[in-house]
Amino acid sequence: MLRFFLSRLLSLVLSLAVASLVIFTVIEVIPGDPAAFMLGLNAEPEAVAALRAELGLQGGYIDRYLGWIGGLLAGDFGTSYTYRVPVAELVAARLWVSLPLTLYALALSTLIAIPVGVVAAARRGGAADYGIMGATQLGIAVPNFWFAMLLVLVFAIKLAWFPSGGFPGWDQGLWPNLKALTLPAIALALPQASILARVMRSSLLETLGQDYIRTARAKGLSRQAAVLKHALRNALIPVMTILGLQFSFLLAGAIIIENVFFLPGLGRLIFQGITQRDLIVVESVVMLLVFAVILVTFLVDLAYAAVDPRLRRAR
Amino acid sequence: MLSVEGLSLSIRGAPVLSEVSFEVRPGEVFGLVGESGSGKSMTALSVMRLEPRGAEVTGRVVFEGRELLREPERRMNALRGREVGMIFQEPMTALNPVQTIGAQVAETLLVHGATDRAGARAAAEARLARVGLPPERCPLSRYPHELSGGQRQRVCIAMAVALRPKLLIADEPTTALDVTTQAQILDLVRGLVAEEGMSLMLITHDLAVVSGMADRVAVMKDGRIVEQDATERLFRGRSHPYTEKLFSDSAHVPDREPHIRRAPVLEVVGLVREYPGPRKGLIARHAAVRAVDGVDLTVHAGESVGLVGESGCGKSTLTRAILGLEGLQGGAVRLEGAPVVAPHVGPEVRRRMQVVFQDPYGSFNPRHRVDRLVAEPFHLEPVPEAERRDRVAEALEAVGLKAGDGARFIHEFSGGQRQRIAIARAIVIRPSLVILDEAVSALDVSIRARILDLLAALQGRFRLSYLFISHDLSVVRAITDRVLVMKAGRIVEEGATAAVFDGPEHPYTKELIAAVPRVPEGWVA
Repeated sequence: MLRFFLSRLLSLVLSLAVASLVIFTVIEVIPGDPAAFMLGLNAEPEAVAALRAELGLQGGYIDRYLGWIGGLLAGDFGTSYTYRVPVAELVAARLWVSLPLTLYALALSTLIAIPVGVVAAARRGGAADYGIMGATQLGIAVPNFWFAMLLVLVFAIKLAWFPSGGFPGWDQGLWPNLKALTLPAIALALPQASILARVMRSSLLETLGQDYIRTARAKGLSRQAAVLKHALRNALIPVMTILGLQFSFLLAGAIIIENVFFLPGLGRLIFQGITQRDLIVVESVVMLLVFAVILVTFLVDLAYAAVDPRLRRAR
Repeated sequence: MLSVEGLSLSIRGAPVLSEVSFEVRPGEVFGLVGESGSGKSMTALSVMRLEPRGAEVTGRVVFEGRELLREPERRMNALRGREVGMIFQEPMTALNPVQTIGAQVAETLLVHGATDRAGARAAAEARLARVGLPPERCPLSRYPHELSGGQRQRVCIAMAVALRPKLLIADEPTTALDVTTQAQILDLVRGLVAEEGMSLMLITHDLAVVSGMADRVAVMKDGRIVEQDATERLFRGRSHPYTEKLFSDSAHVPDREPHIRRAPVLEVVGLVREYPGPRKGLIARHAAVRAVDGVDLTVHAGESVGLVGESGCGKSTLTRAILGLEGLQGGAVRLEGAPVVAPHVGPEVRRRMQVVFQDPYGSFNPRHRVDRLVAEPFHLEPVPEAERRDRVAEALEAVGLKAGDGARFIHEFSGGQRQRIAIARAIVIRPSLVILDEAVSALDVSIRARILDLLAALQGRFRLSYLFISHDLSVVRAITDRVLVMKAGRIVEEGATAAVFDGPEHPYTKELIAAVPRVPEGWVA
């Protein structure tokens, strides 16, 4: 088990190293002057030169790469050109919105999807199954921003249970913020839960056809007990894969929902960074997202091993 | 104790069982024999009320005075595992891969509320020890993937008998196992049944197995019991024509007139095949595993050579090496004098060597028509389109199909027909050597007998040499001239087939041959 952990950890570090090289190469090495790009077509040559100096673009590639990595490790992401504040501060502030939102949405999606998927599989071909399959089809097809607007109309404007947008900040206490994140989290969770429920259903159906389920029934377990004690854990592996992918997607992929609800999240930061040609911000946020994806993959790998003893050997 | 009367079962209108009636008496071993699809397993599942969804069951199943077909599901749950235990054919998949064996055996006790956790654990330990898995050699914390097939079947048995049921149903319990393991498992079951005074319902396709185990036997065909009687009387009498046919087919020896010529077709000299050992740390590895360790083997023109051994002995690795699919760490393979060197075996060499595998369905592309499947080897040899068509038709007819069958798809054929198509594909290019890798192992006895006849006929007609790789000793005996016995990567004995089978010299060969179940001599005469 320890060896498995170490080998996964090694692969995590290697992936990060490769990713950082790729990001650095794309943004700083490939021909085209970032400083000229950031200032636009009509920039004065003096201004470009000054920016080059400010961005630290004068040294060799290797020095600059090492400097960038060293900075990242020390928590120094550089200074945003447009905001004139350290990128680390910018990112940290946005992460405090995006991360809770992502976890909230994932928790909702999991809590909905797993029971729903189990019910659909257990009642295969029945009315509940058809109903669930139809509803999840709809959940995947409906755009989440449209659903978000619907939620605002009903729960914020008509019923006034939740605010229609904005984010008070964590210094205002837990409850107002949780309320502010609830509608966006539901809007994000709906399509994810629909996908996850379908994966859960088909995975469980496959598992239910396995010989060991028949063995369990022959031992005297009821159908329900066989599903819960034997099938569920075996069926979770594909579900965890999807869950890992969804986390990475939600962390930065919530731009539209963030816009609908006026949330200062990571998605909007990277969008603003790109439109304002603030390469320092883009470079750092992309690296951060890559780190998040790789970390989640690592955690999913560990979860696989926790669920399935056959995967505990080092590969 | 168990009495089944007029049991019929149909799935969506299609009859699977019709009017099945039999009785299992206290302390008796009752054998249910038949070919695949005859309804043996479905009978057992109906008794357990575990028939598939959509099945309609009628008739009466009376167990200890209770009418099981009328029992509510809750009472059936209480009965399964406690009063009737069941073991299945595939030990590899019958256990939950993510639970320890201890937990799975203990579950039988816990689910029936027989004892608390500690008690269940102790009982599981005792039961596992009784089936030959003592905790010091095989702790309860093991997972199924850490055990061999035979060990897994022992776990299944421990699970089924944990609560000392009155009736044990064993559905092909040894079919997936090696012959020596089969003998051990049968011994174990026999011992347990006698010790506990259980009744046993043994389902098998193997007449020899049932002859050594059962007090009474029923023969099933197409969902009906065609004959049932005390074992010896049934075996001696064989009054029903189907019973007689099963007997003659299972002992079938095809007519062969071998024309063995001097010239060697296949020469394997000192072949060594190693795999890298598992990793110790992140980089260091354990010593390499030698799967094939210095094997010499020759097949002469027109000869049939058998290679027997149990799973894991290196047969498959050797086959792959001969086919030039894997690199060698030592030795050489020559086909009619030309070296076979992986990974680039030229078409000129490859076309002289074809192979037929155990599972014909898995080796066909399901979306191609049969004529295209049979024509596959022609990529090794440029042949004009018209001649190809003729040769495909000829090959299909040679294996007993019609030339018109080429327009159909593989799923339209039965298992035996698929194997004929696989043979047609192997011979269409006129190879010198055909390697038959467990080619008849998955077939029912009657189909197997016809395929063996076909192979014998084709050998004469197309002047083929066969390398027959199998774990099934009776088949190898029926069709080969010479046999090699493989164990742990080495050939331990080699000789004329009859001589080796009648007077084995190596202790391993003796053990192997002794383990083959046999119908007692006097019964067959």
